[in-house]
Amino acid sequence: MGSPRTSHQPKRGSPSLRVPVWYYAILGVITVVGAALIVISLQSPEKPELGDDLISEDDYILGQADAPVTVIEWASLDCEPCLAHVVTTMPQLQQEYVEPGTVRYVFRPLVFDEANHVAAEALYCAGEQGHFWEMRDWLFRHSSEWTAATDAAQFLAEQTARVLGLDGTALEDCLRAEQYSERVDRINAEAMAMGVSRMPFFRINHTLLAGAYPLDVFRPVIDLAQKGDYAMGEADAPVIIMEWSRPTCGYCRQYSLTAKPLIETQFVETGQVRYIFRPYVGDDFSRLVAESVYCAGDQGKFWEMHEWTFANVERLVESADLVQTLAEEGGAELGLDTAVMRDCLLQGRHQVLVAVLQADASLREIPGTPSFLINGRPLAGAYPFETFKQMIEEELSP
Amino acid sequence: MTTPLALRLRMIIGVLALIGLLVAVYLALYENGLSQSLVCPDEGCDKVNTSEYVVLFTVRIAGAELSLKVADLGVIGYTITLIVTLGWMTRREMLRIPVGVILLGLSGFGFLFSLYLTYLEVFKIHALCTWCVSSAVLMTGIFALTVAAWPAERSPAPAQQRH
Repeated sequence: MGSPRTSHQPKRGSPSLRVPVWYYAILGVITVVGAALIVISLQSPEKPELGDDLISEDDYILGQADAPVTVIEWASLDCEPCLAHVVTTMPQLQQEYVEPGTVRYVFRPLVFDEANHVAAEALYCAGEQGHFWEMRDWLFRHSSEWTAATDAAQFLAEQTARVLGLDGTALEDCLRAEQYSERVDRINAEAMAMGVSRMPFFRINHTLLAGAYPLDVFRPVIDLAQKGDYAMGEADAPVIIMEWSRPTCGYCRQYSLTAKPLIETQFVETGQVRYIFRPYVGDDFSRLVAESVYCAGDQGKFWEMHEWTFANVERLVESADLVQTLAEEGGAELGLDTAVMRDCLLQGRHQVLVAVLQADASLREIPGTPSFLINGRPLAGAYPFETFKQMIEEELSP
Repeated sequence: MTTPLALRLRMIIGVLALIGLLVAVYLALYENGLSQSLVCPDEGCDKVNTSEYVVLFTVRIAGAELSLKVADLGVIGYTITLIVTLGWMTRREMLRIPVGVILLGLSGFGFLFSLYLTYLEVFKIHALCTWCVSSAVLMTGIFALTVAAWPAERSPAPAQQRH
């Protein structure tokens, strides 16, 4: 057995010493596979569920670019509640949601005076050097120092060169040249146009939140965003309709029986519209009903429960024990685990979420029910299907 | 004509250099703004490949600024290594210089440069880029194999050639 094998082995210095054909085949396969992977990565940039319209080229993103949830923060760099967010909530948010890849975090500076403007520009100048997020932290934590400096540009350049290891000369040159002045102005004009009010101001996919809050307030909103806001329709549909309504509103029920089914069949099911429902909460009754919809959502029956509350509003209004009716009757009719549903309602598991959504409606100045935003364009009232159709088609046309 | 052991080691070096070249091309596309994102388990890739250390030097030619990025140097280095390895796979010399010496020089420089880049990632940028680390590992592998092939490269020339 030994001799035939050794007879084929090339001897040292033998003229037959050559590279086998299979070796070149392996190299060919590696080249083709590698090149294909590179080409694919170039052709299909990672697209988040919400669509990249939220993020602009100006933004620095903390976290994975394809994270399903986008959190955008607007804040001025010397605002005290904003510093509280940076110091307390942000590290937890980063650890729990950004690092695991659930959230991509974007920060946009708001400016109200000259020192703020310089600091905001310095943020982007530091970004050029790969230190956007370190600079943001430093600016928040040392706002009393740079706001008091007579020459903010020089102060920032010297201090951040010393503390963060930035190229101070490059930073100062960048500030003196006002390289990012227009960008900062543009960010502020956009923020004012979209009604950014209290600071820090957040947008978490489709939900607005104003103020510094503990992580417990962010958590249910991020979780909702991660579930795609229980939206109907394709994630990449070009039109997003948001509806605010409540079962006790007669016009809302009228809309849900007339225009809504047609929107669903003609636009949602055809992939042109993504449809998001938001409860409009004005009292304890509507709050508990709204919570029941999210409790049912935990068991995979969000829309079913939403429709059940609209169809059985009279029974709910007359109920002596609303939790009992929602959990035992509604839950049972929809095949839910009624004990889990009851616990969810009694423990107020979605109380914070519904409160945030209520505040979101206030921030958007939703006037009453039913109200709609069609790609951000407001429509208030139970209009006939044709009105919706016209607005959707306007959004669909190039 | 080279020895069978040196040939086998060069075959492995060729595979590593090809993979390294693909990694370097992927990073160079990003560093030069031709792709928008890197597939990476964390933000380390973004942090490293957008840092100030990415640009090695900039020259101004006819009013246009041309920068040589770290990944560009990787593309050049791996390409030369691949060409030398594949082109002179069964030869001892290239332009009268022993191929082993050329590979040792290339991979030695690549290895030291990779060490420097890893130092920057850990101590200056405070982030690790998975692709850059992969490239450093590949270059280290190439260097180690070149060193391992050294005795075989230096062994006496085959008897037939001496005749």
